[in-house]
Amino acid sequence: MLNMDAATLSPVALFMQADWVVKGVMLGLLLASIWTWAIIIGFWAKLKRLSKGSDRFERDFWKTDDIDRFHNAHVKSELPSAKVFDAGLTEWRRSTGGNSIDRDGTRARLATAMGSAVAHQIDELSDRLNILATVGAVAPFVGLFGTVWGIMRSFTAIAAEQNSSLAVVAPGIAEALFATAIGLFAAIPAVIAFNRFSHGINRLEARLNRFADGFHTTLSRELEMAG
Amino acid sequence: MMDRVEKAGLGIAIAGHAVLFGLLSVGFLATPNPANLKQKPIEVTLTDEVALESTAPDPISEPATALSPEPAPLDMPEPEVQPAPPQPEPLKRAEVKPAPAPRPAEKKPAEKPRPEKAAAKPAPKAPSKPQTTAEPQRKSRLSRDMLAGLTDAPTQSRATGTPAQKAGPAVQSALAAEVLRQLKPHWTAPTGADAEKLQTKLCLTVSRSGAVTNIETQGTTGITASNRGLVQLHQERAIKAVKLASPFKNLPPQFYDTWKSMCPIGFDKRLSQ
Repeated sequence: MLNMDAATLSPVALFMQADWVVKGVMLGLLLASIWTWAIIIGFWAKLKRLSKGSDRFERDFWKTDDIDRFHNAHVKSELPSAKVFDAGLTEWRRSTGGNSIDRDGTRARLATAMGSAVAHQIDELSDRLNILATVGAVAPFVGLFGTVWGIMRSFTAIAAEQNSSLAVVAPGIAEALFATAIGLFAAIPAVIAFNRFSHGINRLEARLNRFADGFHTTLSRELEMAG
Repeated sequence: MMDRVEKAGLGIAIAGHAVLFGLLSVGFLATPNPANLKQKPIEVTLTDEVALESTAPDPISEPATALSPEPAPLDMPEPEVQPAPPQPEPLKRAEVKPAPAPRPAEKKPAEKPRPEKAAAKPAPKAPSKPQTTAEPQRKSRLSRDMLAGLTDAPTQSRATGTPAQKAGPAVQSALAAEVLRQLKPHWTAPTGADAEKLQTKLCLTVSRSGAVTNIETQGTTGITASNRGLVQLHQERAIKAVKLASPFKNLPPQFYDTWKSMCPIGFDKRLSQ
């Protein structure tokens, strides 16, 4: 049974009674909320998967003896660690493929290649975070705009009806406040998720840098022994 | 642009919002309806026994003016009217003195010219009388009736009927109870969903005999979506009850001012119980 009475907390009833401006605000905030949650769920799943995968990848990497075979096994991997590893190894092969080996140059190129690979991975991953930040910052204001507009309209109604009883004012104010409620409903998870995911991204970046440094150290040692 | 995980996330987000809004729509977090009280409220009428205005002022007895329609100073009475000269003295007393005493303050402007006139009229008479006594052939045109009216005896009021008393709250509530008591046997509230919330207000105009001369519908309150269909029937039954109860009996005539117009009388479920 769908309750269309405004006295209940039915969002449908509140939406249907609202002004078209408030309706627009509500619709926009609803879409923002859906989009926010889609990002939150997707990001959470992705971060968890990447974190676990990177754990396993690095553990396997430090255990393996044959780097070339390990590279062949993981060349298709989507993990950031694998991408960084791939970038480093590709650069190593290119630099050591010729007859003469420039050790310092190779070290510098390796560091640059892996550093840029890390940066690229982090950039790609944190692409969606700005949406969370935007929603978290803007949604309360948009909701407040809808509320102010709705309350202005309520007061106009009071003036028009010459009647200031609570029954005349209350529905308009309830529907107006509903806009702020949706705005907060969208903004609060967005802000929490943004902070949480920023922290997660920072940790991932630190781990990738550590991995890249470790790999770089290994290759650098190889380079010395090769010479 | 969106990979598989993000599409799944979008699907979950849409589904979650739909579920949340569905729950809210069916009243998941709705505040309990304040109208559904555990105990039915009873109506209490506060009546102050000793009210500020519980009694009516006494009817004003307006003294009649003692002017004859055609005073003629020319004719003089026969010798038996000889003691006329002392007459103006009591005449003035009778006229001027009672004038301010019983009159309420608000009537002063209207009454003012009268004492002047009354005082002015006898004035020419007084000097004329000694003159006319010398001429016995002139008859007074002052009638005996007029002279009779110039006594100290209390005068008759020209107002016909007794003014209605103003009823205090105690009387008003007693009258209301009496009217409702007479309406009750004829009133049957319609039954149906939310029918007990309806209340039809009527305004009645009642003649002195107690017969209802005019019924005016003041509208019905408490209309909800479910009892909208009953409103017409509710009003018709209320009007029918009044017509059946008319004429009202046992209404004290001295309070006719109070019960000649009864507005509003509320007809609802409780009245029929």
